[in-house]
Amino acid sequence: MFSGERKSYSFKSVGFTEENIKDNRSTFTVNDPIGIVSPVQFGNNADGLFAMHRNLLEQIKDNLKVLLRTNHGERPPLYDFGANLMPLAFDIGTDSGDIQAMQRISKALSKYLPVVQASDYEPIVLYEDNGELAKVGVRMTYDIPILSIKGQKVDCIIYAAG
Amino acid sequence: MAKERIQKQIRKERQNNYLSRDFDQFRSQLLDYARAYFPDKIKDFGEASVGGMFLDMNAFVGDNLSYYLDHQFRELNPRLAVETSNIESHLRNAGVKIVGASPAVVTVTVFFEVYAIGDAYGNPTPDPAFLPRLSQGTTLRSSNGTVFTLSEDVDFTETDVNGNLKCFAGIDAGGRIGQAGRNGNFGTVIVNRDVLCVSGEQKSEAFAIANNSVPFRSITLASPNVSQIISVTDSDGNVYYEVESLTQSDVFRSTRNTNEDRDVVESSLEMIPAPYRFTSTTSLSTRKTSLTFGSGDAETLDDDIVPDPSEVALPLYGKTTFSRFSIDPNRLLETQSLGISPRNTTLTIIYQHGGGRDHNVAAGSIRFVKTLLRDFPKSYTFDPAKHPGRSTTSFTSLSNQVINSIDVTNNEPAVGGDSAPTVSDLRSRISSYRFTQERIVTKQDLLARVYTLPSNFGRVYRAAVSPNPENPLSSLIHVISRDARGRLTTSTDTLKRNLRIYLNEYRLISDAYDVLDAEVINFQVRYRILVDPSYNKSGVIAQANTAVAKSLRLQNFQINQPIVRDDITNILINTQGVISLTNVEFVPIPINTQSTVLSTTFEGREYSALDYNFKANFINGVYLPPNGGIFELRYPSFDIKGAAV
Repeated sequence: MFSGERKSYSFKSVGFTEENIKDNRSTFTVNDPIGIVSPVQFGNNADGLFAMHRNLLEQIKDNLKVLLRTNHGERPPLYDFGANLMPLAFDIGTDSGDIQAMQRISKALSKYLPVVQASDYEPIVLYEDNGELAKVGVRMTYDIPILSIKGQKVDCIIYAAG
Repeated sequence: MAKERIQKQIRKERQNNYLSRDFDQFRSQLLDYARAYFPDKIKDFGEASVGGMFLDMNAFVGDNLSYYLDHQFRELNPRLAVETSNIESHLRNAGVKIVGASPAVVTVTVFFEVYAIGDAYGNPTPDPAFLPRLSQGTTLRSSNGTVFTLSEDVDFTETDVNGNLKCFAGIDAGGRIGQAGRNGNFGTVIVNRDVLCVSGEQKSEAFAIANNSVPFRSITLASPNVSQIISVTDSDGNVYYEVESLTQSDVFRSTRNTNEDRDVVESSLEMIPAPYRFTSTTSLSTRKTSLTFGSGDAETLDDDIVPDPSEVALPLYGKTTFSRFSIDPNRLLETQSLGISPRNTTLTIIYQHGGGRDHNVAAGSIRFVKTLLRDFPKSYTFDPAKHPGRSTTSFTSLSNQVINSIDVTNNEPAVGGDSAPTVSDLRSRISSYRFTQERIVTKQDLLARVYTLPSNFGRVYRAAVSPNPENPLSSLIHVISRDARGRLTTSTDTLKRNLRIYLNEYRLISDAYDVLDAEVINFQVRYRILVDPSYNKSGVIAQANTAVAKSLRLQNFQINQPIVRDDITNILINTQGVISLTNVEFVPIPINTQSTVLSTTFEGREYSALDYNFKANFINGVYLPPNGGIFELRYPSFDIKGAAV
C-alpha cells in the first residue's frame, strides 16, 4: 500500500509546546476553590473570605513553597514539618550543603507532599555588587507523576541579607 | 435554592461529637466536618496547604484545651495532683500538717560538782545555794556538731515528795563525792539531773508591724524545718498562742504539777482564752513556716476579746422548768472575731529549727555545752560559815566554780530524728486524715494520732493497735523507732511519755491505752539451691540474695505482720539460673551468754535478744510474730546465707 520513502520519528525528540502546557493547565482548572492562597489574602466574591486557588498545579506549587520555606519547629503541632533549609543557609552552594538540602527536601516531600517528585536541584547564591552575600535559595525542578506533569520549577529564597 | 435549603437542614441536624481528646482525633473530626459541610468551599487540607495549617492549629488548640481539662481534673484528686501548690492545698484541706526534717530527742544527764554542807547525819549533801537552775534554751553539742536544746527548765533544787533532792541520792544511796572534806568543810558532791533535749537550734526573729489593720496578717520565718514555735510575744507584752484553726478561741496550757503526785504526773493542763492567736503553716516547696494571725483589730474590739464563761448561764423567766437543749461546749469561749491581728508593735518570735537522720547521735556523744542559761535560786542564801577552810568565801567566785564544773552526757542514743517527709509520704497520709477527727474513736484514728505526734517529741517508726486481753476497755499500742543507722530500736521512755500525753488529749474519757515496746525479731534466712551448670554459682547466689533482701527490707514490714515463706521460695525459684530449691529456712539469732535483756551479740553484730521459736510459730506456711512483734532482717549482707549445690 505504501510507496516511496518511509518516514521514521524518534520519540526522543517528542516534547510539549507552550500551547500544549497551557492547555494542560486549563485541564486542571476546576470551578470549585481548592485551597487557600499563600500568603493569605482577602478573596473576591467568588472565593469568599480568602483568595483561593482554583488550579491544581498552582495549589501544589503553593504547597511546595510552603514546605520548602518552613523549618522544623515552626508548626506547633507538626514539629518536623518543612524542609528545614534555614540551618543550611550558609552551606548551600557547597557540595555537602547541597547534598544535605536535597536529602531534607526529599524527606519532607515523601512525608508531607508525596504527589511531588523532585527531579533537579540548583542552589541559588546571589552576591551584592560589593561581594557580600545577598540571597540564598534553591531552585527545584519537579514532576507530578499522577497528573503526568513534568519539568515544573519553583524558586525558594531561604535567606536574604544586604 | 434547593441546594442551600438542604444544606441549612443538614446544619440543623449536625451530629456534634465531643469525645475527641487528642490532636489526631480533633484533626480527623474537623476534616470530616469540613468535607461534609464545606466541600464546595475548600478541598485541600494536606499538611503543606494553608487550609491544612488552619486545621492543624484548631486541632492543636483542642488538644491543648483537652490536656489542661484533664490536668485540672487530675489536680482535683490528691492522689493524682502533681502541682506542688495544689498538693499543698489538698494536704491542708485534709488537715495534714506539713513538717520539715524532724529533730532527735534524747535524755541528757547534766552533772555539777557542788560545794557540800553537812546533813542531819553529818554526811555531805549539796548546799542548795549552789544548786543551779538551767533554763530552757540552753544548748549542748554532740561530737558530730549537732546542737541539742533543753526543752524544759531543770531545777537542781527540786525535791521529791519526801523532801529529798532529786539531783542527789544521798551518800547512803550511792551519791557521789567529788572532793573529800578538809579544813572543816564537807568538800564537794556530784549532783546530776536528767533533762529532755531536742536537736536543733533556737532562733529569735523580730518583726516590726506597721500601724494599720491587716486582717489575717501573715509573716514568714527565715529558717526552714521549724520544729516548734516556742513563743510569740509583742512589744506590749501580749502572748500569742498557736491554734489549729483561728476559730479555736481557747488553748490548753501545760503547767508544772506541784501536787504530791508530781513524781507521777509532771504537768497539768488548764484551759485559757486565747484572743491573741495564730496558725502556722509550712510550705511544701520551701519548708519555711508562715504564721497567720486573726482578723480582729485590737484597737476596736471591746471586752468580747476575753469572754467570761459564766455569762453563758441561761436565766429562766416566768417558769420553773426547762427542757434539754443541745450545746457545743466549744462555743462557751467563742469570740466574735477570729483572733486579733497585731498592729503598731514588734513581734518577737522564738522558734526551734533543724533536724534529720544525722541528729540521731550515738550514746555518750553529747559532751559539750554550747550556751548555758542558768541562775541560782534566790530562796536559798549563801552562808559562808557553812564553808570553812574554802579558798574564798565569795559566793560569786564559788558559784562560778560550780558552773565551770558542768559536765553532760547522754546514756542513750538520740532517736526520732528523720529527714523531711517527701511529697509522696505526705500525700499518702491524706486518706487516713480524712477519716479522723479531733478525738480518737476508731483504730485508724488512733494510728493517725500516733504517727502525727508533733515531731519535736520524736518519731514513731511503726505502731500497731491490738485489744488488751485483760481489759476490754483498754487497747495495746506497740511502738518502735529507728536509730541513726535506720535499724529498729526501742522507743525511749521520753518518746512514750510524750505519746501518752499527746494521746490523752484526744482519747474518749472511758478509753485507756497501754503504750508498749514492740518486740524486734531478728533472723537469718538460709537456703540451698541447685544451679544450672551454665551459670556462675556465685553470681546466681548474689542475685538471689539481693532479691531476698529486697523482699525482706524493713520498709516492707509492719508490727504483727507475718512472713509468708512461699514468697521467699517464689523469689528464689524465679532467680535466673536456679533449677530447683532444695531448702529454705528462717532461723533465729542464737542467744549467747553475753546477751542482755534487750540485745545480744552474734558474730560481732548486735541483734535483738528476743528468743523466738520459728519452728513453733510456723503455721500453714506462715511465720507468725508474737503480738506486738516485728520482723527485721538487720544485716542483709550477713543474714542471708545461700548455698549452691
